[in-house]
Amino acid sequence: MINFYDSSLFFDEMFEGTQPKPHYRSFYRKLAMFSQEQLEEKYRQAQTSFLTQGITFTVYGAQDGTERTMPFDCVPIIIPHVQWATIEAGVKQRVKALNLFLQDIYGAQAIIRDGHIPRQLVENNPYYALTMKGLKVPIANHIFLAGIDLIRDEHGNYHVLEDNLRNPSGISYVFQNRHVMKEVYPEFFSKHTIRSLDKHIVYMQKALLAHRSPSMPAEREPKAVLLTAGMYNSAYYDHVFLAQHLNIQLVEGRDLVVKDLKVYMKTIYGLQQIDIIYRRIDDDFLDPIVFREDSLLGVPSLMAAYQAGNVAILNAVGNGVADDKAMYAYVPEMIRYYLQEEPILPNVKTYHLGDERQRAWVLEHLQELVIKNVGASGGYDMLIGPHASEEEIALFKQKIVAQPLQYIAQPTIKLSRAPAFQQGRFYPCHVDLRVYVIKSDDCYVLPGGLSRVALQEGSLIVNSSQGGGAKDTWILKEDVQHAKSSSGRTILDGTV
Amino acid sequence: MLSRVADALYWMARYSERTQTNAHILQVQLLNMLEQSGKEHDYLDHWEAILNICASKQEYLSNYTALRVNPLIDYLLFSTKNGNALHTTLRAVRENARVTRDSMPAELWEIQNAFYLTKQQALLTRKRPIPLIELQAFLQDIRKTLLKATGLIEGTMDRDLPFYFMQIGKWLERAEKIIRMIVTILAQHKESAISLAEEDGTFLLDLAAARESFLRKYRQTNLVAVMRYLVQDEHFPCSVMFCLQKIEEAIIAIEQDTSSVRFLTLHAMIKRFASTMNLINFEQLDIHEAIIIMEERLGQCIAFGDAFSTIYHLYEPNLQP
Repeated sequence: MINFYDSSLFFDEMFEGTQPKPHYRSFYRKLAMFSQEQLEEKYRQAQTSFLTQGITFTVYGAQDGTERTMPFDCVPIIIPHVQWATIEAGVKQRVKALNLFLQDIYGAQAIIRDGHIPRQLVENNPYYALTMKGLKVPIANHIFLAGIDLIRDEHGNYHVLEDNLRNPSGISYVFQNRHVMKEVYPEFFSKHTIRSLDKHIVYMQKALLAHRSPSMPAEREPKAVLLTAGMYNSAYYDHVFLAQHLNIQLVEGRDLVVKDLKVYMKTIYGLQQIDIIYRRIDDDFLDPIVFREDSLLGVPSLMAAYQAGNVAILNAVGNGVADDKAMYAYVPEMIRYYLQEEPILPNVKTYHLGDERQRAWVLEHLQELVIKNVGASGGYDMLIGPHASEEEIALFKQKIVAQPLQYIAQPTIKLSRAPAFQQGRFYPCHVDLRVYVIKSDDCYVLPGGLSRVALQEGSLIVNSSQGGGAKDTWILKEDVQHAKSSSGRTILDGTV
Repeated sequence: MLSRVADALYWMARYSERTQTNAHILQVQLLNMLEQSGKEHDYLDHWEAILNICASKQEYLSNYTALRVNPLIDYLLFSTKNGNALHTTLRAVRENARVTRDSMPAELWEIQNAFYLTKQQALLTRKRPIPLIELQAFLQDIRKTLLKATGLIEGTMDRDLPFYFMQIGKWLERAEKIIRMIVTILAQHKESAISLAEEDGTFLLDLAAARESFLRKYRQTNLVAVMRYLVQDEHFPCSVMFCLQKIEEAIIAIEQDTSSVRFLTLHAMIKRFASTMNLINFEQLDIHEAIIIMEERLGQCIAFGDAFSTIYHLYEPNLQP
């Protein structure tokens, strides 16, 4: 069924030469049993399922129907247990260090004083929130949910590409991809024992409710809400899903009001106080009194209530200073500084364009490098040297010279690939993996994560707004990587 | 429950009911019309009545020149100038469902979303005029989809706040619509020389989808008998009395404390409304009296909706805790 492609050009998740890797063998056998028509029919079923469930995202500025489903691909990313253990330890370590960093820079600033991070990089950062200085956030946790983006190089080694510590989206897709996969492709699951996602939302709920503000009486049950920008937001489905599964109210800014430094929601019976806000709107829009005056999404005086310790805001305000692309290069240093450990997962090499020597070298080698705007996300304002035209390169040269601190450069990594089945055929696509870390007193990693795939052949951009899709991610359980019927345990197709 | 969510559920139910009734009314007329010629009185009277029940004749005439089928269909189904065009009310159902989807069964949202994304969008892109047979099929589809939704609500929803807010929206919309139909039909007979007891009520029966049920119980289809049935029958689920009974049940379920100000206010209103409805003696009214009385009832219905919205902060939530 799969027309073979040259899998030697990049690291391939599934194939070694023309043969599937050991952990993909059973899956490959199952896949080979389907006809072209069956696969196409299943593909249609999967997309329809996403559409009618309203699992869509909104494309800003699109002229036609603005609701789109994220294309789903049926070939999962399968990760053996041992590899996953390393990833899990690596992202936990990273998030712990990043949280300590946030605590530190809004507190004593020891890391700057000790000379490990330049002061200007922190204080000139647009996301550095002065309102957070000296503020003690509930349970000293700034990061409730982090999305750490990982990629694999040509040798298959994992690198961290990006940390998302503000409002990482997409966690609902992890659950829905699995749901649709089970519904439409149940056959694939037999002969595999993989880690289930079902119970994991409970950890998230527990972690959320652990963020009690210090002023809360011990006997009171905390009341939490999810603050959304509303149904036109691109991640609205994510918000609905989380509110439903975390069993909290989905509120908009206009549903909340601050009185006497306490936050209330407007219910049919009057006002009801709330204690924890899991917000999915950016800092800038949270409170029109402190941040953007024109924000209609936020709640006036919310920051005052936050500063008075009467409400927890998750993720904390001002996290952008730690996940910005310029600060990224310093995360390994943070790990060494705060945890006295060596980073488990390496970074991608990053050139700072504020440094004259590095900048000169980068400007000479733009055609080999990736240039990113430190403040942008979603794959915007980005140059991929090897794929860029001369005009684009010239344009970025100008941009860098005009605002060197606004950009970083990285080598073009030969992102790993995996086969995808789209438009009736298999072809190799570049993939990355967003791993979700949930943190309260403890750190917890959702097994798997969101495998994003650049469905345009040859493209390196996995973002859904730019033609990216998603795959289910399977973490194989320890020991029984390939359950055999002779082992005596019941496997998913019902045979013993 | 959030006021905004309560508001959206209430309006989703109202728009859903409105859509269903308007679709039915159009279906009736598209069939009736086949036997009438464009110049007959009945033909024009019927379209006029339908315009006033489903939207507004005045608004129609300010945008179109004459009562002709294609512009009428365009106005009642698609026009953006008509806030009650089927396309608009269907979208309102779906948008309200979209913001409250965490308060309703997933299947309910999926039915509404699927209809909107497939059938409704498909019709919008069709070349106009759309053949009558296709329009009929579409109207039938609307009604079937909404009836399926009603079944899901009845069969799967917890008897909890979201359910009862939807109930109040639905029954209030239905009561208001029936009264509006009666007022409109009465107004058309204003200049007529014959008495209400001699006027034929079958068109009203058809509009209210009551013919089947009515004819099982009565033989005479004069306007008096029909109005009495649509207003006072306790068993027919589209009668005003039946709707008021359901609204009362919902209020009792929402406000378990029967001594609260909210309960006392709303309960007193609905009781008063029901008793004034019950006291109407249609046999003894002439057409002008009947119009005045039914217009008053319509006002009462609207006033109840306003009071309900104010008490539960559905419009501008009160900032006092």
